[in-house]
Amino acid sequence: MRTPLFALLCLLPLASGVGAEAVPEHELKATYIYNFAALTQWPPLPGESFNICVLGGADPVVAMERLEGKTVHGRGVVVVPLRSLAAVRECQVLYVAEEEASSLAQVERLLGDAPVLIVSDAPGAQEAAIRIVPEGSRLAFEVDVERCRRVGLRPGAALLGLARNLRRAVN
Amino acid sequence: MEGDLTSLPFEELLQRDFVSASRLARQVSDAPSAVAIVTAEDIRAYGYRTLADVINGIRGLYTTDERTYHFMGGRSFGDVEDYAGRVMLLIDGYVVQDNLFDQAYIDESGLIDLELVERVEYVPGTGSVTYGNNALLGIINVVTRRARDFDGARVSAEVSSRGASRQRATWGKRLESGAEVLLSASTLDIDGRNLYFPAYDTPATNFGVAEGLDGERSQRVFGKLSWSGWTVQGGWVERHKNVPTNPSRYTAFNTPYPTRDETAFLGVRHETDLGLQLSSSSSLMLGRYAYGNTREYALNEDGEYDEGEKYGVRDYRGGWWRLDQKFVGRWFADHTLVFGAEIRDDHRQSFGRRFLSPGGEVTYRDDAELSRRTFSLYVADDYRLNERWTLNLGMRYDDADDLDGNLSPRAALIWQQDSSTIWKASYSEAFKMPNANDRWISDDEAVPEYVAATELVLQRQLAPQTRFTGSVYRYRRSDLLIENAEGEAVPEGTSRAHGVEAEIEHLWERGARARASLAWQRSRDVHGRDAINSPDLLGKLNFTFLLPGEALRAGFEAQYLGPRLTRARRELGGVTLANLTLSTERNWHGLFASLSVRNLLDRRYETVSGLDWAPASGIMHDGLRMDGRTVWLQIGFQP
Repeated sequence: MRTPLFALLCLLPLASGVGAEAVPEHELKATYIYNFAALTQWPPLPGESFNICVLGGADPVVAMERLEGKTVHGRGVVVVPLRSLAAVRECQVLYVAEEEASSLAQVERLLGDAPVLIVSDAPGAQEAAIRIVPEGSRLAFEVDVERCRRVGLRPGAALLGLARNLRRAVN
Repeated sequence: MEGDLTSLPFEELLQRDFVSASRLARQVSDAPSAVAIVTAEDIRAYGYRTLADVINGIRGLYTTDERTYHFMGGRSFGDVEDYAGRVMLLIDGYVVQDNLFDQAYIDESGLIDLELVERVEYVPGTGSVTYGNNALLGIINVVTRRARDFDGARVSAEVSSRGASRQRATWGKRLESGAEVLLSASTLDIDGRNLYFPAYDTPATNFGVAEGLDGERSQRVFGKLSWSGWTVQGGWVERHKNVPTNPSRYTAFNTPYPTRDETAFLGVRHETDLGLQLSSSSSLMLGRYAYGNTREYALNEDGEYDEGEKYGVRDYRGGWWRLDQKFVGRWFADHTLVFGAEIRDDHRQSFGRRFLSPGGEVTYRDDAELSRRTFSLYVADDYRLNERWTLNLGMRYDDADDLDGNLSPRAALIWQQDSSTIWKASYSEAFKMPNANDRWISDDEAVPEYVAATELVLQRQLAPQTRFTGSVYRYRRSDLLIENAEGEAVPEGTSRAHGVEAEIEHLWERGARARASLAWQRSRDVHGRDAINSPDLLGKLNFTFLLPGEALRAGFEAQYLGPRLTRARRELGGVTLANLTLSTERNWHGLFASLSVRNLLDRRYETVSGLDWAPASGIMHDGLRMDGRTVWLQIGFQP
């Protein structure tokens, strides 16, 4: 009845095998969102904090929470996992994960022209001001300048210069 | 992995490769312990059919099939008597144990059909700080799938080589309005078979063969409706099972012993944000449970029925409701406060026993009505001291109208050593109120029991697709029953357990994954002896991969259960069980199928029963022989 199967476990390799350049998806997206926020101008901000709201699963929230403690436009970043859409107007950035893409239309109705930067990685998310899109093994992004302007957000030249859709238009 | 990516120029970030998010499942519950996760993909790949199957694949856990219920064992508990009331079962956050025995049903008498499960998390150790009563030794947290995951209808049929047949139908849809509707029904029928029990191998008791008594029927209905922060859900299960083991020393072997379990619940929850600093979750649950059985007594030495009673009939019923209001506050930087209140009203806990003459007249009846109302308050703070350290402090106060108030505290310190290594150290205390059955049979003399648990957990990402989880723990249980010098059972016993667990998970391309674990424990009973049915060593190996051609998936499991003691302190040898499942990876014209072989090596083995007497044969009835190799086939259709 003895089993050699579990001898396998004795080989617990505690040495770290990490060191590759690749970054976990959610972590990279969180860092993108930090850059989108830093490179976009808001109308005068109402509160003490810079609120990054997350509509979606636990994984993006965990990744995004690593941004807490940093500052954007002189305000401390606060990451808020949303349970409902009741408070979306208090967000500065609203990240809508792919699994919540079906909420985008309702989000847009609720926000009207409130200065909230909607970021999404859902394919074809027309309501998002910034879309994160995979490009091979990397992540690119697209900016909908018209949508930003309509709600009073001004994406900086540094951001626009890196956006895939605008980069191509220029070329 | 480097520390802070935000310090890099954006241009540089855009050149970085990313690792896709299809990786090792992440824990959802916020417990600071070594949580084990089983996903819907695992359930399919390994052909799991009950929560007991799921539990058997989890590090440090095992189940015992007593041919009535499946009981769970793990850290510091193993005896089947030691299960009910000490492990909590949550379905989407609703506590669904019955309110007579406080038992969590993990077999076909349980509420949930595994096809509806998105994930199961097992949180070892105490949970009273969050859930109060009954979360003494572990929490099974079941999250059901969303209606949109089905997107239409799905039907399936299943048969097994031991005479089981099951049919299921599920329909789920996300409507234009954003509302989601999920409905499901299933039915299971298992034929009775002849089973051999050595303890009854005498000419007077059919040479130990219980004929055709092991049959089982189960029916389930589940529904969920969610819309705009509101979720309404409910479930119902009714299970009829004949008990072939002759589970009482006074009953006649090889006579029918039908039992019936019925559980139902209805829950309504509303979740909303009251601004960005405060969110609220309110829920109301209604529950009911019914249990019944009929037994036939054996003739005494004089060839008569004691008191002229040939039959015993039990009819127990429970009903309760529970209202919970929870808030999550983020008013203070680096603090996440969770606080709330709960009222639970066990308004019905009724017990009825009738004894019948051979002619069927009631000769004696014994009825009792109990109830309990519990009011609870809880608060917990997750305090991020800095980038690396988090302190979690919590406590919960539970006040039941038949008991003194009880405070359950927990303190946990979490250290993010680097981006791939997390340490969690915790100390907690939990308690179990006497259940209604304890109160009834002890004339309200039963008292609560307690556990104090200390645990250290290490979670380390060895590589992006490789995770190590290790834990060391020590439990001290107190106020357990022990016999005093006068031979009376008094609640002054203490038992201790400590152990070590280690697990490695790894992912490869195309959904191939493996998980291997070892758990070692030393569990002592109130007398300081080796605890009953508590193996010192448990090993698990799970491996799934796509077969060449990528149309079929194989899922292989091996489980080692170390030597363990029966109630008569007989040692049952260690055993390795293996299961193999082949399942279709994609639907073919809407068709899907799965073939499972359980106990692939056809091992003969026994489980420890909760029984401890020797009938006329002189052989102890303390172990039950389990099934050999069994084959299951499922075929389904989803247009």
